[in-house]
Amino acid sequence: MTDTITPPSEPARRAVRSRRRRVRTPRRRPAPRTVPARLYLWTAAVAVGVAGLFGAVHSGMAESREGLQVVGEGAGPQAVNTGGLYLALSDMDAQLAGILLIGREHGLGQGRDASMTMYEERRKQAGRAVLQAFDIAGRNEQGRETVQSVLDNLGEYERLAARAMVLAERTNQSAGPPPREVLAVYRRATDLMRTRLLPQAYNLTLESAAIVRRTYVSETDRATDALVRVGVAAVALLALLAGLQVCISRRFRRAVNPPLALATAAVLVLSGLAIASLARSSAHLRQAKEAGFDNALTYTRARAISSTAAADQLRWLLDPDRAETYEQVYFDTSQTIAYVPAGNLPTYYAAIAKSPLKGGFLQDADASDPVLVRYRAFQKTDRNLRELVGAGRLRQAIVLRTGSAAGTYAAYDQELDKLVNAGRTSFDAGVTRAGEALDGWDTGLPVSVLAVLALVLLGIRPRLAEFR
Amino acid sequence: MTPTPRGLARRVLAPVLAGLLALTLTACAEEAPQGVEGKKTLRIGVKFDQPGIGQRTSNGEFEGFDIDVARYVAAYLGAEPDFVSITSGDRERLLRERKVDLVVASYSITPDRRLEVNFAGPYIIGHQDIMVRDDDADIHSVHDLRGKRLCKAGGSISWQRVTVELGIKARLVPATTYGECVEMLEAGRLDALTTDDVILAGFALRRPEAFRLVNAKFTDEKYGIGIHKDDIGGCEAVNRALTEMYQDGTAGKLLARWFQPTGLKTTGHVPQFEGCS
Repeated sequence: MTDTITPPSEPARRAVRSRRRRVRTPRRRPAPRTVPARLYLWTAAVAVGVAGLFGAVHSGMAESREGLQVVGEGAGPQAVNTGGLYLALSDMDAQLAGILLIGREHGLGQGRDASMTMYEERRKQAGRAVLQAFDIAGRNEQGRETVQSVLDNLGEYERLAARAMVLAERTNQSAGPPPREVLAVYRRATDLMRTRLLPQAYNLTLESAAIVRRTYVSETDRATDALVRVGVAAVALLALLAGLQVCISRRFRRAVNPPLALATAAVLVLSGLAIASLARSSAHLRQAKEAGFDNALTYTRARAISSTAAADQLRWLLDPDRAETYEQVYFDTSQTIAYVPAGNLPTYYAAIAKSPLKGGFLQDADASDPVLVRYRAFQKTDRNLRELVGAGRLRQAIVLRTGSAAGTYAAYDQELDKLVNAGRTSFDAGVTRAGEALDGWDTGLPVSVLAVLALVLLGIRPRLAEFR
Repeated sequence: MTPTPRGLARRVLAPVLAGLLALTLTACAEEAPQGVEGKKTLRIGVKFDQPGIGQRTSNGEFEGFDIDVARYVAAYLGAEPDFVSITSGDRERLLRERKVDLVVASYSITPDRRLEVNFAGPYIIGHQDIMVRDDDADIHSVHDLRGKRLCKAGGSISWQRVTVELGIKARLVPATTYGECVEMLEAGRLDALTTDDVILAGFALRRPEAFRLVNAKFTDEKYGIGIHKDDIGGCEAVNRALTEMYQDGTAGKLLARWFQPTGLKTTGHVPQFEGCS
């Protein structure tokens, strides 16, 4: 090192002291008079500044990770999982309605075997989704209680569904609304499904989404705070280092103390990198939420609500006494999916075929988007279905609904699924990148902070040694 | 001249410290909350003329199912409810202009209303039914309303379900409130009043001998809690309150208290929420 030579000459020191005496006014409290004491004080201040920067960066990183954990591993996946649970449950009831509707005519439409296989498949999916939902719910009391209730009700639903199928088999009816005793059991099953199971699953999705939104909003605020904290801590530390540098250069007549200069540069780089990492992580989280999660959620909900609309077509055919309610619910549901002002179903069919959407889940879709094209086809089939029944051609309506109309719905559902998956991919990628932006700081931060401290000590130790 | 170390320290540190102080002060001076979360008092728009739902009693107090739900939600949010009488036609405007924080007033969730306000809940599903005078022998289903005098209450859309959605040609007779509809029905100036069973049950309870419910039940009506379109956090918080209301057994007690005496059956389970957006 260049400046580890002799202590300042005695006259020089005296000169400094006498100047200080002249400058100082009598009312000031006494500052440390000796050079080593002053150096110690500056060094201590720098050490506190280094600790402050460490704290600011460390807490900023920890908060970001915590938010990412909630969004990326807790509530985010839970929203998707419970969306899947809803679909599986909703389709179980649709398949059951289809099986009861075709009665002994096992070959009608997609056929009884296909429906039975599908029912079984959905039952398993629902079971798996419930277990997973319980797992993710973790310590969320309200969530756990809801999942527990879904589990209990699912068992009861399966029992009722099995009984309805056995009864239907025994009565050996032809296609159409089943006999009263079968219908009575089906009503209990579908009421359980529609008033308990499905609402619980849907509300779990909504609550998970609410947690994601809340975490995201508070995370955005905290990220800004963290950036300010790191910035302020860095500026304060740089000022202290500059002060120490000036103190040494004045006392010892050295222009620059190289270790201190190096420490200053290290602090500049360290805080710059930390701010960049935090800002990058926050930006990726925003992209994950706004471009990924929000879309995935909208279309997950659209899928769920659409599946009940499709099932309501079957229930409408199956239970004439409740047909008016099922039709009104279908109309209401359709308006939730794609809203165009219309007073009743016939005007809705006409409006949806040509008017732009005023609201609803599909609001953002262009007229030429596959999802809207498929949705319109789905509504066109619904119109045919209701016209057939209106014309007294119930059998053709049943053939249509359990046959080609199921395909029309499946094609529409597939488009929704694509949109959900696109959102999920974007969400997952954003969360991963947000996490990666924080990588390396666990070791990087302590190592660089220790290095800065070491450089500071290296810079002042020889100066202090001059006074021993 | 080179500054002394102390002079320099003052020059550099002073702005930094001032900046820190300014930051602390901004952090403390938060704006008053616009949403329902964190408010000490919630202005809640309720019905004043619907027995069993929202009714203002002679001593100026409010009572009914909606009132009890509103009280529960306000308590969950840590606020005192301040009830405001409103009519059906006013609900969207009062929310939009932030004259009320919440609307709990037999407010059914519809797609066009959703464009203007947010809905928490629904907290109960009603079913549209028909009320006639007890001596009526003609009306047994919604289709029997053809050619009959049907009340068209201001701000309500129940009559539309009959005349527009189902296309049944009833003769509509306008009235400002359901209360007025009931008086007109009793006086023989109307043949039927159609709205949700929960509302009709309240009127039937008052004069059980004068009226009869047809038990037609031809719709599902989702009763939601209206909230300002921008208050998504508040809407989500109200949903949590409603979930809790069903999970802790309060909803069951309230349903039993207000609807069981008239024989009205409700599911007693938390309905499927609309979602806040």
